[in-house]
Amino acid sequence: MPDPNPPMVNVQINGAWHQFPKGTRLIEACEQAGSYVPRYCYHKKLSSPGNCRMCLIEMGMPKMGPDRKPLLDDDGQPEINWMPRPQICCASDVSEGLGVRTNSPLVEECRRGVMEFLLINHPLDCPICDQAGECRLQEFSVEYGRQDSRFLENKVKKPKNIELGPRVTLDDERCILCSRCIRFSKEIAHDDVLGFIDRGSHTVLTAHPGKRLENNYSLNTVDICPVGALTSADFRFKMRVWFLKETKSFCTSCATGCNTIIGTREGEIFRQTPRENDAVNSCWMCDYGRLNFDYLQSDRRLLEPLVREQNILQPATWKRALETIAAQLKPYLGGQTAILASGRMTNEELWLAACLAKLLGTTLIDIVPRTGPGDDILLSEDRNPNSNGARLLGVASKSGQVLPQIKEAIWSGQIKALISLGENPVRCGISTDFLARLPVYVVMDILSNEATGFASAVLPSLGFAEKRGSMINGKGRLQRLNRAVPGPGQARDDWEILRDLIQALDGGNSIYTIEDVFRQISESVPQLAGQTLSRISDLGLQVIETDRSPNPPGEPSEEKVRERERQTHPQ
Amino acid sequence: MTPSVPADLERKMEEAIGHYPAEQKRSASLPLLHLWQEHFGFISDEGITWIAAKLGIEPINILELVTFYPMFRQAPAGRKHIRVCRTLSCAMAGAYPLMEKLAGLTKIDREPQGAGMHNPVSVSPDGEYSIEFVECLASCGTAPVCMIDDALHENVAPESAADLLAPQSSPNTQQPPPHALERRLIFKNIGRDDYTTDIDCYLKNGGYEDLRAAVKMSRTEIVNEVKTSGLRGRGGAGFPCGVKWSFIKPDEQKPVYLICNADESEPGTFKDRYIIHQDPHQLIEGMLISCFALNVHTAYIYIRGEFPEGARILERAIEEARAHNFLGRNALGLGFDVEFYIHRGAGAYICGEETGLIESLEGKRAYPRIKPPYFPAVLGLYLCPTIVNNVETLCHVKYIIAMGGAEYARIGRPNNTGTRIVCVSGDVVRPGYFEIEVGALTMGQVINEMAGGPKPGRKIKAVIPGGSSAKVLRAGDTFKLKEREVSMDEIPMDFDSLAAAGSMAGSGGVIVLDDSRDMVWTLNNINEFYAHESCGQCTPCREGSLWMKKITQRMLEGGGVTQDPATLKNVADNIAGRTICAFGEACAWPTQSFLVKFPDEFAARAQKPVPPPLPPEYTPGELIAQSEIPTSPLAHDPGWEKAGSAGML
Repeated sequence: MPDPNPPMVNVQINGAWHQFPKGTRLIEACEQAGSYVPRYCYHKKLSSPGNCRMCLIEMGMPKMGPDRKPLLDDDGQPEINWMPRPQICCASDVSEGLGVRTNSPLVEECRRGVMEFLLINHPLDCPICDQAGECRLQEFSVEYGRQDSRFLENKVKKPKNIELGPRVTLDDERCILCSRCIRFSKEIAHDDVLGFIDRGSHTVLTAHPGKRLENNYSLNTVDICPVGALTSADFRFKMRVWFLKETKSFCTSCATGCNTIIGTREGEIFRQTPRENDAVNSCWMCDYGRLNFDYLQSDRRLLEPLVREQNILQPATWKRALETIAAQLKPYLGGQTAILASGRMTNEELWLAACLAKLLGTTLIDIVPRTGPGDDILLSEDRNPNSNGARLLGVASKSGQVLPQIKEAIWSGQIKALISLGENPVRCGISTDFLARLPVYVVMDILSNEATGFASAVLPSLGFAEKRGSMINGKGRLQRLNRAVPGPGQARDDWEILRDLIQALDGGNSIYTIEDVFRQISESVPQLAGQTLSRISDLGLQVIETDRSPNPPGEPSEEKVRERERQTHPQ
Repeated sequence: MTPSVPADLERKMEEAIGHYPAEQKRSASLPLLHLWQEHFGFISDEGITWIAAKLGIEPINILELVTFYPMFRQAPAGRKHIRVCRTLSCAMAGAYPLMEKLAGLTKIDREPQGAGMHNPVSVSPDGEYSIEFVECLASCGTAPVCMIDDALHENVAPESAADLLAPQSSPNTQQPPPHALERRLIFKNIGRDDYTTDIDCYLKNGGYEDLRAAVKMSRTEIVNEVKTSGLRGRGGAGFPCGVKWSFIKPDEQKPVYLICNADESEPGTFKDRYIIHQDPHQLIEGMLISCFALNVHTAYIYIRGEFPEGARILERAIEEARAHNFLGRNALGLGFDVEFYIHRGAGAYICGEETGLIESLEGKRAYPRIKPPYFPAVLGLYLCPTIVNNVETLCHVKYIIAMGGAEYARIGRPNNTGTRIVCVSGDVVRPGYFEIEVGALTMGQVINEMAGGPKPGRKIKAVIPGGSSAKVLRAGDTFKLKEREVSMDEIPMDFDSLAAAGSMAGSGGVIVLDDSRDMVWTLNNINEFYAHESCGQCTPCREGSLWMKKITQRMLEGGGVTQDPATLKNVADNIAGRTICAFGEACAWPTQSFLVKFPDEFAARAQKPVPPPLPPEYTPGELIAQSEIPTSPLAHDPGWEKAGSAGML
């Protein structure tokens, strides 16, 4: 365990003295002091092999007097004994009196040299490379490289367009052999699948022919690849990255709620990438969650409100659809309705669903449990992103507990109206035979399914990337979805639909924005007291203590390395 | 397909796995690959999968090794496999004509060199022979050499290549008598007709007496004797051995390992070969004393793969020593358990670097470790404290105990104590090894008196004094030593004097170049060695070593452009001092020194104008073929220059 109050050490960076907690990696210290040191192989969550040599800097230790105390200069600061050779700063921690120079002529010459070496055998195919625009080779070449090429030889030929696995494609000519992907696979994904073969300048990255890079974390290798060697089979050649609008969000495919960036252009989602949050997902996310956004662009999207007339679902205006539904529900107030809510709904939506239930006078409200195999990395067995929200807001103290009751009440005819919010009743055992018995079956959803055809009214709503709202992940962290793209057709924000339905039922209205919904929640739920939706930071906020999703991936190897280093420098 | 592995082979594999700690089975990767290749002839895909399963690791981890270590083949070789050394001393003595001759005799159409990473293995149409170039076989004094299967053949003149293939051909093992100027400690029994590798012979000559004396001393006393002796490492870096040993804490809780570095592969060096092949027990004895001093219970001898006979001799020596209770359980009845194991390399020069060696011994690609934090004495083998010493260094320990550290320190000069074996190869009349008192002889005495001087009618042009990575010295220059200026012939053969002269004593391999040598050709041969041997882990060495080789190759073939010498020098400058291990210096120093010492020869081969940076781009082939390099009119249109940036929009 890291010391909560580590002692501070003094480090001189480019002439100015700074203080850092003991144990700070030198390359991080330089960055914190405003002197970013370029790097390829170093990744703070992985072990440090020190192989790219891009982070070479000048380093020196304090000069010691005969009394073993540091010699001080005229300003009373320790004098530095500079080492003649440049040193890497990615593999050592700060130490008392250490001096570094990150911008000296020698350092610049080192970087120029490494940049040139990295580029001589590189194909320089930026115009057709997916990494262009977010490529460290490009970036550092501009900042630290030379303008001209002195290389008159044939480049080393290497394999291209290798399918390392179903989701990751490799171009070995672009690879700079930093080994980040190898270390990630081994240290984080626990799947030692990648390696280097051959030797010297002919070294290539590969997997064994009998084993593919197909673990559920394979696409993280694409994220951490500093160049265009590893590309995503899903994303490649779809969009130049500089056209992407980036929206901070989180993944709703399981209770972990990995923080993400959604990359969109002109209303279309092109990719999801993990966003660092050490309290949730470190720097990673699973492939399943990352790629789980295609359904938002599905042909089965519900695009306009529908109302059953002459036994056929007919398009209607929102106003008419909601009025019709309200009129249909009114006869059954007080015990003859049930609500099938979802653990994929936001807190705001769940709150309004609970309000609706109260208005309808029913206690038959539940969310549909959704589980799958989890792992000890990030993926939770609970595939509902907001089970904790449903629990906290009183919609479902234990998800699925009321479902059998609802089912039975439908069959017995006690229930005349069912409202399903983003769930398919057939999938939780309420088959179409049950649905056929219901005089009123209201569907609010984003996709059509086998149950939709039995609906008396259909209300098209929005997916996770199309709306704002909050959820509470498996570890009790309140996080906020932000709208990345507009919804399709006439689909409306779920909370607005619910508000309007409530309003159509009782006529009152005091809710104008989603912030108002959250305010109502915060006024009655003590765990959220004093919060506002806008104030939830990008990294979320711990609101309840619970332990439902796996720990963020520990960096066992990093710890090990640090332990090794502590042994080496027993300060 | 699951291969059928004979029970006997599997038993041998189990035994090899037992040489390493139970949780370090991966260490047995190289031994298992050797056993597999010896049995099946090559490492098949099934072999990779089978071995990986046996060791509980992923197949990629084995594939990484098979492709890293050139001795492992993924396709069958001929029934007889010929390895011709192509490194400097052998190349100077005719390795290339020898290869052509052998290829002709065996009707092998050799694949062109240079496209891939390894020298290609080519098989004769009848499958009888296969042939490949290999890097230095550590027998530079008897160049050119080749190996046919496990047997080394020395002094193979190209014209007598046919004799090599005759069935009765047997390796040539003639040893010259000691030269009068020599002072032999380590080599006192080498070359003696009446001396064998048997332990009885060794015991008859006073063997293991020093071990018996050492075990009567305390551990600290032994370490102090070694410190007092001033012994400096004979592997190349010249680090004081006693200081290295004193990094091991006397109360160390983790196991301490001793590794004997017998990966002799610095071109020009061929001393450890003779110790191992002719007097192995002195190494065992030296190691046993070291183990006792450092409280080591397990020691490994990492011997290069190209010494199969040496490995067998050492195995036998260990068995004999065990039979005499010098090692094993309760050695010498002192309650001290100590085990030695042989670990064979497989053709990678980088394993001579101590942390690369440790990685290799752990069953990985021999990627040297970063220091800090991985100083072997702190975090070495299996992250335990580890001492890695050269063969010759460990032998000296025995003599230090025999005569006492102070007495030993009287041999040689201050800070350059003891004797050391100097290997002379290249353009001299009598190439070979000479054990000399460090610093007592000059380079002139070694080259002219001991090695017989230049060949008739030739003059010495340059000397590489410490293995091919040492900076070259030019004959006729004066060198400023501490107290005086001297000629090359007057430089004392010791660590400090050679360092002061701008080079290094290194591993003791002296390569002599006479006035017939083309320095561009020489440097290109050296560059090819380092480009081939770069492990490829860190950027400057991986990319720079091959780039330097490509430039010198193009210059040799007539495609040199005027900027080449400057580029070469700058590339070398960008490697040295910026890599993980000392290989960076090893591959940069030759280029740096050759360019400074012989600028005219390089300029003469760099006459063409620099091709224009804009299209048409020139391939190296075109540069070589065309006598004139036309410049592009677009690139040099004065109108563009005048317009400057304003003309762009």
